[in-house]
Amino acid sequence: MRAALRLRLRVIAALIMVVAFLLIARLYFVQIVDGEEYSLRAERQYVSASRTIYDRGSIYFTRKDGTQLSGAALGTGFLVAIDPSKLKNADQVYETLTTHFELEEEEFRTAAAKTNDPYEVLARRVSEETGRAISDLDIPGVIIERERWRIYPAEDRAAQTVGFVAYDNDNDLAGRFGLERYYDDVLSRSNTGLFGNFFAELFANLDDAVGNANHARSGNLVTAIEPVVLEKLDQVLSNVHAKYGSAETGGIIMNPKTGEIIALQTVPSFDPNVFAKEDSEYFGNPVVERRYEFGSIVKPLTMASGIDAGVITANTTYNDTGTITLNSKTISNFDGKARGVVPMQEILSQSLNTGVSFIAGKLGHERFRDYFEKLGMGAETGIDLPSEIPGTIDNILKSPRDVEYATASFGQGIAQTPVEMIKALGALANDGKVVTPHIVRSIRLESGITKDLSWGSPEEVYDAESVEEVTRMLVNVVDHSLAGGTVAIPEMSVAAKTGTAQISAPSGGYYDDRYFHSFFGYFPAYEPKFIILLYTREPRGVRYASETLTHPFMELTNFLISYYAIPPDRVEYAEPEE
Amino acid sequence: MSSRAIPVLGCSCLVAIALYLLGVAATVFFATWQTGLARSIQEMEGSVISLETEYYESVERYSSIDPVARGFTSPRSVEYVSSTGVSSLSRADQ
Repeated sequence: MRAALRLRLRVIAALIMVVAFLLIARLYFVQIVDGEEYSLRAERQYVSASRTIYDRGSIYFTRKDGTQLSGAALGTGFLVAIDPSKLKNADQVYETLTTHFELEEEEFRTAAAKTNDPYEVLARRVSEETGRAISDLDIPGVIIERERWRIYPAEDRAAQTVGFVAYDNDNDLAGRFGLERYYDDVLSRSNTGLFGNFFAELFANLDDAVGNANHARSGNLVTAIEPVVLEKLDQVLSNVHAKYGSAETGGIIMNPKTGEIIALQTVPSFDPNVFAKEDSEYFGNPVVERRYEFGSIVKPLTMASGIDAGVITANTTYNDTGTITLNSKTISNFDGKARGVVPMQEILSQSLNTGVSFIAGKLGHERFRDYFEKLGMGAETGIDLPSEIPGTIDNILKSPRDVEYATASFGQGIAQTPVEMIKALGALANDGKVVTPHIVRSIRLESGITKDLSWGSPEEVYDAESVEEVTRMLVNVVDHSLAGGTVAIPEMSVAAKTGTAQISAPSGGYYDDRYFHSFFGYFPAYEPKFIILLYTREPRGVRYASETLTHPFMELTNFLISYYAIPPDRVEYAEPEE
Repeated sequence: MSSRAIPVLGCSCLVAIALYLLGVAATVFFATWQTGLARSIQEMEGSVISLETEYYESVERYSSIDPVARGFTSPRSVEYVSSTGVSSLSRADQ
């Protein structure tokens, strides 16, 4: 028995030694004989793997029916490379490859001549069909590898808002602009291999799954941007921009009750799919990164402040002299003409600078300043976009002069970002409350849970009654004054106001021939679904915003009414037929 | 060591080896399965992106159509009726 056991042990020991010897021999060949080749292969696998398995969360737009559409996602395809030392007939390989994709002959020859380099990339982002077709040919020396990359299907629409991912100087790939940057921690993923060991990964990542906070909060962004509305806004803005040769044209469409931005766009824009070929001047987002003096669209806010404070009513009158002098500075109406004794309605209908100066005077410095600060002027809005700057209302914060308050009352001498402006104007469309404008509605976590984002409670600035009074005035502006009342919609109440502002010169004062046109409006006026802000900077050959932006605004309004089937609020409803 | 311990140890070794081989097979199976799923998801996502790109192009095309140039005109009169809730289910005798 003992002899038999000893024999068995010897046999097992011999087997172990043989296996060990084979392993050592194999190791010798792998590390010493073919070490260089394997080292290169390993490096190549590492390089290709880092691209092939690129992973990142998606950014979705939301259509009106609630379905989601990618604004940023990952494209899938192939990378084609060659190992020049293994090419048998370079000419034939070139001819074969050019039947599948475009390839410069000189580029191929240069790559094929590098026989010491086992990995020369010929093409990236090759389509699925082409990649599979080449792979099926099984050409010696031709390498086909799977590849994923960031893709922006909406191209130049909302490009500044979506942003893009790019490498920085440290070769880190991350979001650089827009939502890609603001929510980089949510969208970024740790690189996990496509070809993995199930159990090894399970145990290796168990700790992450349980304790890694970043892993727990990574997901996909669901925005409120509606792709069809975005397309319409882009077309309208592009037409304005081209027609008047403006320096910049932009627009925001927002739900005034929630602060959700349905569409926003600026022209010129860029295609983030090929950002390297685009002008980097347009990468930033002007709606949060630039401030402008908006001019007369501020007047309804001054009016609301006056009514809310009780210093005026809709029936109050004042004597319009055409010009007034404050602190040795003269303030004039746009045409310099006097109107005599007029009611408050005329201040908005005829956009009278002297009229809002009268209201500012009635309000006094402190109350005027308080209202504008409560509207969020001079502060960041908190929108979920990077690099937001605050507007400036230093003129009314620091100067004790009446003239600064008078000019601020009609939107000059103070400057806001477009988002800051729509936030403030949104109070008129939301019963006097301001909300936080935002792009992202929710985050769809990798776990499958959807986390709705909270954007704070609306903050009351005005009484609902005060705002309703101003709304009535603005509806009157559209029905009777705007384009002579020709653009009014008989079935729908629309509240709106134009703004034409002078542009300040760097040397001080204002340019004589450069203007900033703006336009805002909301509808249905007494139960608003949308508020729209449009602007165009330095349009050529035209003086007033009523000429440049009235029809674009009405085109958008009519489109939104039809697209969302918003019921008319100024018609008698017939009884439905049985 | 008792004479009974040797067959028990032998059997235990065999069972351990069998379990090990089973583990290896399961690992390979699940790794293959996981890889296949990951690849098919990625391919599907790529296809969806292509469709979405086509959708954006269609929206752009249709939005740029001028209905007036196509001969459409505004209706001469419009009558509005209040909508009534219609049940999706109804009894046959109603």
